[in-house]
Amino acid sequence: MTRRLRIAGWLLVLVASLLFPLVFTNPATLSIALVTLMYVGLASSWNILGGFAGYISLGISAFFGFGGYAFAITLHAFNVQAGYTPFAWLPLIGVLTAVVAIPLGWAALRTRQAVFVTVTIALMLVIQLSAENLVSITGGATGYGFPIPNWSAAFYYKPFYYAMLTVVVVSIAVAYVVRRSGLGLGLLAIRDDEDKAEAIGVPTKSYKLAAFVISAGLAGMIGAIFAYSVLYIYPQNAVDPLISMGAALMAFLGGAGTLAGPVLGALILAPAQTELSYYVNGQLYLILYGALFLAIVRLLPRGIIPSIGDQLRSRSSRHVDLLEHDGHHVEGRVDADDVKVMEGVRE
Amino acid sequence: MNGGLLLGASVLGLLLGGIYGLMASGLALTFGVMRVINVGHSALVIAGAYMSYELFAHLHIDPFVSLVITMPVMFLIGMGLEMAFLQHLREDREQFSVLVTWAIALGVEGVLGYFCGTDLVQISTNYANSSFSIGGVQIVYIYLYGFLLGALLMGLLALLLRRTTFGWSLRATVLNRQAAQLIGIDVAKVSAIAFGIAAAMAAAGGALYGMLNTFNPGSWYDLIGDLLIIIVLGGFSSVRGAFIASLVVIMFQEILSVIISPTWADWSFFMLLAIVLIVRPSGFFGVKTREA
Amino acid sequence: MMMSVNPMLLELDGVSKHYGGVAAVDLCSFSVAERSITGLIGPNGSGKTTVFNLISGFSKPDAGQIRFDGKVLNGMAPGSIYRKGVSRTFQMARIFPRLTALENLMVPVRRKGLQGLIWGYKGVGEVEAAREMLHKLSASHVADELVGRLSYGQRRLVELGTLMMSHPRMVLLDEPAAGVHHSVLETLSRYILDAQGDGVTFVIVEHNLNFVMDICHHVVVLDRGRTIAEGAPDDIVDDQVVVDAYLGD
Ligand SMILES: Nc1ncnc2c1ncn2[C@@H]1O[C@H](COP(=O)(O)OP(=O)(O)OP(=O)(O)O)[C@@H](O)[C@H]1O
Ligand SMILES: [Mg+2]
Repeated sequence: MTRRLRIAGWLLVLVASLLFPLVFTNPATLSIALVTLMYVGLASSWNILGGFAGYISLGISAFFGFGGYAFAITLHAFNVQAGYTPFAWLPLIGVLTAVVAIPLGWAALRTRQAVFVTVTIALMLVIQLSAENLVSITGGATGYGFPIPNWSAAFYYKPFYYAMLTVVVVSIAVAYVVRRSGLGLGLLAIRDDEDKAEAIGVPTKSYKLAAFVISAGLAGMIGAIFAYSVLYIYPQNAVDPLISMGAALMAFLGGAGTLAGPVLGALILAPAQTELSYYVNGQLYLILYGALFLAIVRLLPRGIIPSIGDQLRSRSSRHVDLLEHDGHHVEGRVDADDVKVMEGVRE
Repeated sequence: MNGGLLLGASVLGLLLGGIYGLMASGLALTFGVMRVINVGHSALVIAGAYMSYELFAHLHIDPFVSLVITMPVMFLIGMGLEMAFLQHLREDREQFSVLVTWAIALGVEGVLGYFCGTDLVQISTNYANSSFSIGGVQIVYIYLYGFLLGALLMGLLALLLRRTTFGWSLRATVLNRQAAQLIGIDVAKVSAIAFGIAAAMAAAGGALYGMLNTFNPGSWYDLIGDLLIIIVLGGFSSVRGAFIASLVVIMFQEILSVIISPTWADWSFFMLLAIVLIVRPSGFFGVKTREA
Repeated sequence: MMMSVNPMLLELDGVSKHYGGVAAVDLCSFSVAERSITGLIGPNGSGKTTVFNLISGFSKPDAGQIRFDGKVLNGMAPGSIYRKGVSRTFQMARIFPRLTALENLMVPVRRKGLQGLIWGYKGVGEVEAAREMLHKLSASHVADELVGRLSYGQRRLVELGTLMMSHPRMVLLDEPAAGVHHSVLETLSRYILDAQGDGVTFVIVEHNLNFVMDICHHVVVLDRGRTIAEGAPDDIVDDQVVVDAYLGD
């Protein structure tokens, strides 16, 4: 794909999302659009660690929930009036969440692979437990309310929509900057072979932590807007494992590690899952959601965008194969990792 | 502080730890053999609990007796799940397995909810609350039976692993999947059977869980965090480690709940995890240097 | 028998490494002169790769001392040893398969602070340097290919190029010629000789003895973890001990 085409694509999506609330004014539609945007942002920020560095986290809803609580508590503490002013506090929430993520990330990132995933699940549980148990701060199981803006029902979702859009644009921009920076290259190297990256001088520890913290900060702001839009935050809506799973799943569907993949995945899956939840009861929803998930991992393990990219690449670069004289002369030992590399290539 | 209370808490923690060990050891087994983190393991526990519950409620079969039905059935279900969804995983197996098994857990939750409803239930046998007293410590029979069942099944598993050809292939697979394949072990078959065994252990754990707690299809979510942390503390792929870690963690939790408060006890798992992460992360299953 | 013109850049002094009951490296001692190309040969399992692992910090010696430029390396992490100027390749080329060749080469480029965090890695200087390196390795045509798709020999070239991007003083090559087509092999020896001319020291583990005899100044022979002979290539081929070690295996 040419560079110009890509820029045009991004601009088109941006303009469409700017105009969306002007065209579709139905509040029910707008609320679905808000949730969709939320997932676009979450999947994109998840991707900075999960996609670039290959550290799959299921703890993003920990920071999503933390941001929500931090927002509610901050607004209350500083007696911020309902309306637009709360949105001005969002950057602070982002920074706060990021700061909290530093020690958590430091501890969690001492592990790798499966253990890391497990630790992020524990992280999610510990934030939820804190929300339940630190009653004097969080209101315990009953939760914490937001100041209620006096917007009409027809208008209500629009400010949230545009606030969310702003944070989403920031998330994608941050992901873009990271991707083309030295940090991004280091993260991709970590994904492919962390020990080797470390051995050739990539500061793997600080790079991973940076990715963890950036992605947490973004998730915190997204969670804050979401919580404000539903006006009430309690342990179950703040730290929802389905949100962690959703963000990861959407990124995988579109293509983890690419910039457009998580956006595409969220645009497809988020509205679909919301629609689905209207039409089928909770039990069937879970079954279908699980089945969809299994189907995606099974049929498109590398996601939509990389699969398309492969198609294009294999067409444009066939001539290279002709130059590989020595490919067939490999002798000696071939180890498992090499076989894995080869299998990855063949797919 | 009351010494008797402390003793009581320790005994209770030990017994309960044995029951958790039963559940956690299956998780460690599947990780060791298959490099698969089965976050759906606790959903299998709940599925087992529902089977025992339904057999008890409708056919009045005692949950300890119905294990002869539920364990084989869960064994087959486990094998089926493994062959259908996990066997084909190749690249990034460990990480993908978390996603896949989470999806399986959601599916199991949905199926249970669809057929059994979402009300909280409990397997209430007539001996549920009977207890005896020894040395001033009150012991509920179910806990003792549960512990004994756990110890028995762990013993059988140990025999299977140490004394049979299958156990030998299984341990070889744990040590090195690739190498095991090269020396002619049918790793796919071993994996499916190991997953089946883990599911059968989950069924037994589920029967006990269902007698000790009220539960509904969503209860797997309450349980999984505890089980995962236990196997992290136990060294991830070691069945024995998982069992010992359960005893330690649950005793710690019970003791904490009498000497400080039950609220604090909820944190005990996470505190232990944090300590291990900070002090000895390499004590885990290490994915260290692949030497050339 | 050692070359005495240049000071010794690398010295191993009674280095040992045991795995369980196996002594992979057993009281091994040898030195490598600065700006030399030293061959490290020996039958399969004689401990050559283990010696590399010990020097580069991927495993820790049980006993003995490893000195680089007079400083003790024992116990240092691979990253720190790398920053001292010691680089290595792996017996099974280790590259970043899902990055392009050009990107692979840019991974080790040192970036400081904010520059590392935000500035594009495709800064003009970096890309130019990487392209030039690929050119020297006759691999320009694969610059934008994902390395995982390249042939084995090309991956080896990329692996070497990646190391050379950060201007190491000493490079350890583990079987660079194994499974590599002879055209790539020629590129490789030419490149090594050029770099050596620019002041880089090489230690090469290789079973292809022709390759070793062609480019090495000095050869060290290992058997069962011990140095059994060392000297100029021509003396080594005639050494009865060496012949026995190879044939007796
Ligand atoms: N990580 C390890 N664990 C156990 N044993 C090891 C390990 N690494 C090497 N060994 C053993 O140490 C001895 C030396 O191995 P090494 O790989 O260094 O030999 P080598 O000279 O590189 O052989 P080759 O020419 O086949 O590459 C062998 O017996 C090997 O089995
Ligand atoms: Mg070797």
